[in-house]
Amino acid sequence: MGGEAADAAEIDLMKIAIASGKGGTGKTSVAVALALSIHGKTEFLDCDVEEPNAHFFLNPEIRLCEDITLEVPVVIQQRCTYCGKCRDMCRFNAITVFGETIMTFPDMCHSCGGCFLVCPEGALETGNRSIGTVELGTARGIGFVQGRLRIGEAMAPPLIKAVKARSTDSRTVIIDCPPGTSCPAMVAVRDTDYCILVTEPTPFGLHDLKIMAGVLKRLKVPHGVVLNRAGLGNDAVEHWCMDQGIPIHMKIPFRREIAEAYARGIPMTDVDKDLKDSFTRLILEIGK
Amino acid sequence: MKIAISAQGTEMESEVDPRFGRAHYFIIFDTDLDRVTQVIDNQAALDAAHGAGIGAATKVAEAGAETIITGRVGPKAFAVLQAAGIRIVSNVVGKVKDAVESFVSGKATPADGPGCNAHAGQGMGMGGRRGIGGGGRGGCGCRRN
Repeated sequence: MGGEAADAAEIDLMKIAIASGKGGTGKTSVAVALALSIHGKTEFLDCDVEEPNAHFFLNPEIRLCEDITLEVPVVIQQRCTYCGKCRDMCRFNAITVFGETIMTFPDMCHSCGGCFLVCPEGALETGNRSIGTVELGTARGIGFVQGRLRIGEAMAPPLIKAVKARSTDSRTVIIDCPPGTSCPAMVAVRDTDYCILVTEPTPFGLHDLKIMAGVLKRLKVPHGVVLNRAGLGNDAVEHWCMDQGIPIHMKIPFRREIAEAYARGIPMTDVDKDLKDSFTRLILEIGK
Repeated sequence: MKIAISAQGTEMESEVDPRFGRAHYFIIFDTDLDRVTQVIDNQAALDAAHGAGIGAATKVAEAGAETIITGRVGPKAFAVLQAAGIRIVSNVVGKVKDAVESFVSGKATPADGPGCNAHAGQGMGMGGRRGIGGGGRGGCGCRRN
């Protein structure tokens, strides 16, 4: 293990997001492989809070587990005059008033705080809704943080922010992002120094890559592509990247050996030394 | 007694809207006066990203209806209607006037629970939640009717 660390890449401290658009393209595999190819202080954030799975490959030792909550309104019945201002302000119908009844729906609440501001009677006090947990630990010398969304909870962004808030500035940070191109993915890639888009050479891979590249352009996050399962499908992704001037940093071959390791929870860099070298070069390339 | 009917249009000839929360209109019919006394436009709930049923149930309650005749009611709307003491007659299809007639003649019976589970289609957020026509979610995804 000591010998491996010596040939791992040493780079300036960066925050690197691993995203995709399409799900199942290999974000976690690439994120884990990258984290294991960096020399120096590294931190891994699993921001795919709806189904965090990097722990299967890194086997972290968790030393701290924090409950993350959102502030939601709780009605003080004696003070409420049923004026309905809170109901009219809430865009998410998380609170309603009719006749002399007021009802709140905490799981609809986005915790904007608007109802507290508009209530003229001070009839709302803050309660908490648990949205999930943040777990902190270490894995193979890497700082490890992951979010785990409470089952049934719809609001991933605040939990993703909580995971990101626990990263330290003195380390290179690898962020395993959720799939898709909606709020959770955007919150995860925001304010990172570079984003690696993992895709596959299929029409679906290309379709979602285009959307996510558009998002990153808008968020002004520099980005490049890692093409996973190379050799499968067609070369439309490569042509599109060339047209757009988006670099393809690396191609991971479509090989049974990699899939078998994945199925056993073994990072691909543990079974293929050449791949590990490629990831080391990838890190150095991005560092420039 | 006032009854509310979820409707796809504003007339007694209109079809009953199978969705409660995202119904186009609510027709308020007064059985004592034997005529329509109010038509509620539910556009605001149709436009809402979340909680359409809560908003719709609030309007029906404020209109003073004692019974709602509709297709199916989600769990949150059910909770509001129940808190307002409104009886729910669900799984109704056909024209509004036939639904009213059937209710007045005592053939329709109130439901004792909501029509489906909360937002069955709202799970993982894979693929950017781009599945259903961009904006709105497509109801509850249950197949009761």
